Parts: sequence; C-alpha cells; structure tokens
Amino acid sequence: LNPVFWGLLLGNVALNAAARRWGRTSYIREWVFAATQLASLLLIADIGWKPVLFFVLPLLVAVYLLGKALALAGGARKNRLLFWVAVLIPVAALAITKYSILRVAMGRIVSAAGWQLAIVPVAGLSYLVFKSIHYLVDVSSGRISGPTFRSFLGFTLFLSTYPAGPMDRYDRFRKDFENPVPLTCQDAFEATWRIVVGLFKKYVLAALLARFAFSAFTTPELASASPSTIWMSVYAYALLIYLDFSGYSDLAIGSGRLLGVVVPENFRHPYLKRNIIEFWNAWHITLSNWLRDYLFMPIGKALMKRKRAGGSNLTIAAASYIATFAVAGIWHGDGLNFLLWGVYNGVGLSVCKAYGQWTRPLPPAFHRFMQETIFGKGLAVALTFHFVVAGMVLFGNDLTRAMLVFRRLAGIG
Amino acid sequence: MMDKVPVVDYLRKRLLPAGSPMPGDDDPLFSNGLIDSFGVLELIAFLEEEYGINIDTAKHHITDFDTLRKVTQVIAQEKEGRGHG
Repeated sequence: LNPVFWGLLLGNVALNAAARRWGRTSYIREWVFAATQLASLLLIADIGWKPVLFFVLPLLVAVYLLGKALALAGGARKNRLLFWVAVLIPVAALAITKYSILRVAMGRIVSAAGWQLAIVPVAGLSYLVFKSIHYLVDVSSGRISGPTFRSFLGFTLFLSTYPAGPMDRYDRFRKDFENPVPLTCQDAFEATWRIVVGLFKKYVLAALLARFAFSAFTTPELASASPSTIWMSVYAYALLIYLDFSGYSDLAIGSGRLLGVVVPENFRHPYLKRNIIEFWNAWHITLSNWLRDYLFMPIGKALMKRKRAGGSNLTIAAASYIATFAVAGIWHGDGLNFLLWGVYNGVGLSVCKAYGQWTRPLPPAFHRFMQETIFGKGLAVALTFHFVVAGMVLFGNDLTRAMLVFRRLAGIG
Repeated sequence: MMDKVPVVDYLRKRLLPAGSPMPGDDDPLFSNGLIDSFGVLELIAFLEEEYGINIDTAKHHITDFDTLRKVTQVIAQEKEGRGHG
C-alpha cells in the first residue's frame, strides 16, 4: 500500500503509453520502458537508490556483457571457465549480501582495506540472480540470441515483478517488450480488477488471518495454547501465506498487463493438489519451473550419465530432488531452518516419486480409486496439504521454535 | 519417418500407470501430469541409448518432450544434427 509505488506505477503506465503513441521508433519506446523501470526502482525508498545505482546496475552490466562474451565464445561448451566465472559473479554478489556470516566476513575485509562501505541485503537481488543465471545459461546454449541491453534492463528491473516475481523468462518477456500487448478497455478493466483482487487477498484477507495465524508462533502463547488452537493457527498461517503471495502475484500480473506485459501465472490451486510433485507444479510456478530447468534437469541429467549399469533411477531422482530443494531452501533465507525446509521437500518429492514407481504395476482399479473417487482424491489432497503445512512450520520459524511448535502440535510439553 | 514404436513401448512399460490408455501423437505427456519432470529425464536417457543421440537439456526445453510427435521431432533433429556435425 506504498503510495510511492502506486504513483510510480501510474507514471510508468502514462509514460509508456505516451512513448507507444508518440515514440518515433521502437528504439526510443524500448529505452523509455527500460529507463522508467530503473527510475522507478531508484525512487522506491524500501529498495534504496544507492544499492540500485552502485550495486545492482553494475552487476547487471557485468552479467549482460559476460552473456555477450559467452555467445561470442561459442557458449559454455567451448568456454567453461568463462561460463562459470559469469555464473559465479551474481551468485557471489547474492551470497555476500544475503548471508550474515559472509556479510560480516566481507565487512571485515572491507574495513581492513580502509574503505567506508556498509554491506547490506539488497531487495529483489535473489530474483535478479536467478534471472541472471537463466540469461547466462540460455545465451550460452543459444536459446537466447541477439540480446539487447535495453531489453535485458527492462526484463531484470521490471517494476511489477522486481521484488518477488513471478519470474518471467527473457525470451518471453522480450516479445512483449518489443511489441507491447495492446490494451483495450476490456483488458484495462480486467487488469485493474486483478489488482483489486490482489489487494483484497493481501491486505484484507491475509491481514485478517495474520493475528490468529501468528498468535501460536509467539512464545508466551505457544506455551499456553491448546494443541487444537495451535493446529488452527498453523492452518491459518498456511492460508495466510497463500493469500499474501498469490495476492502479490495478482498485483504483479495486473500491473504488468497495464504496461503491456503478460506476466506468467504463479499459482494454480496449490492446496488442492494430490501429491507434492503436483503441488510444486502449482505453487510459485515460475520459481518451480526455474528450479526444474536450471538445477533439477542438469543435476539429474549429469547423474543419469554417470549411472552404473543396474543403478537405480530412484536414487538419482532422490539425489536430484534433495540437491535442488536444498539450494531452494538456502536461496530463500539465511538460517538452518530454510536448508532443512528444502531437504524436507526434497525427501517428500523423492518419496512421492518412489510411491509412483511402486504403485505403477498395481491393477488399474487401484489407480482409478485413487484418482477418480472422492475418498481417494480427498485422502491424497489432505496428506499433501498436511505435508506442506508441516514444511511451513519449518519455513516460518527458527529451528528451536519450529521444534517447539511440532511438539505442541503433537500435544507434548 | 521416425519409428516411434520403441518410444511408445518405453512409455507403456516404464513410465505410464498400468492399464492407462496410450496417449495419441499430440496428447500432452508432461503438461497434464502423465509423466513428471524426472520421467522426462528417464525418457531422455532412453532416447539417447536407443537412438544413439546426445540430447543437451540446456538446448531443449522440457516442453519439447511434451507429446509423442514432439519427441520424434527431437530425435529427428538430433540425428540430423549429428549427421551434419
């Protein structure tokens, strides 16, 4: 509800509409779009102009140029060293600013060198780094050809999706960037309605749930509340997280549409999915797809190549799921609970895969029962939902408190 | 024309639930949840062995394996690529 954000969004829409109407060439129109994204981020106090100007912008210039160099060098296959240097630069930038241990260590190095420089977390950098890796990998493989700096800036700094996604792909974004999707009255109404729905989910429904959802997560109340109260509180927390994040995604999709960009959908009824693999295909879809394409598939492919004759595909699947989600956990935050949350999901996905494998030869009647009857579907949805909810306890608390919540949920202590 | 019988056999024997009808040439395999992303990796490993090709997952999107027709197109492209390479 930051009025500066809405002011910037309206300014952005007006300026880009004017550029589309009167911009003599697509070159001018595209630069207006890229420049307004950068200017908007510079003006948002929560992000801060100094990190954007002196950290994010140089980083993006470096990533863009390294991508160009990789393309000229014939991609990762022909120049592995350049590829890994290019990928490690944004990863190191994120690691140094996001994780307190590295931040403190880097702070010491900086002050020992006599520089006055505060190393602080940079808003939106986690997503920026994943977008950068996607750009570098795809430029390197030839899936992205002839990138332009203005479209790369527009893609990485796009106001609607900068803070937390949905995470678009450069080649898809570029189509809308170069040929903005026309905005009819009907489209404008639908986009505005999407924003209203998002605001309602995020600032009314989620806010109403907030007090109840978090009540069991504060120490005095956690110690005294009954297990049933804590169960209800945990359910409310799961609902709140969904409403808050899908509401935010609605805002991003609606505001993106006003700017001529069709931002990809990010949620597809995740709490109604019948297993954890389906859940991750329906929750924060753009991040899940990124994890699948840039971590899970390469890890799985590499392990498959090294598989010995007679080796088990299930072991490879488990190793790929756990490694991918461990990285996803670390990416989400600075704390052991995030790593454990990732491993927990990786193990859940592995068990789900094993279950699919073990039940595959069972008679069709079993599959029909599980997939077509209300009881079978209901059981699967309930199990999946509770698995996810237990993960959210890990995600939303430090490890000590999470263990306390689990004990209280079980009626212990 | 690419022989898709080995692919159909592999899908039926290794990836699809027992007794499920065989998808048509243009029916989605991955995007409707018939096989998952690891199933696509298993399919790729099978294709590499069966057809003697090397499929670079960085060059192919997962949706390139979403239907039987698309799978046979990938096989044809990779065989052609190898021939020219």
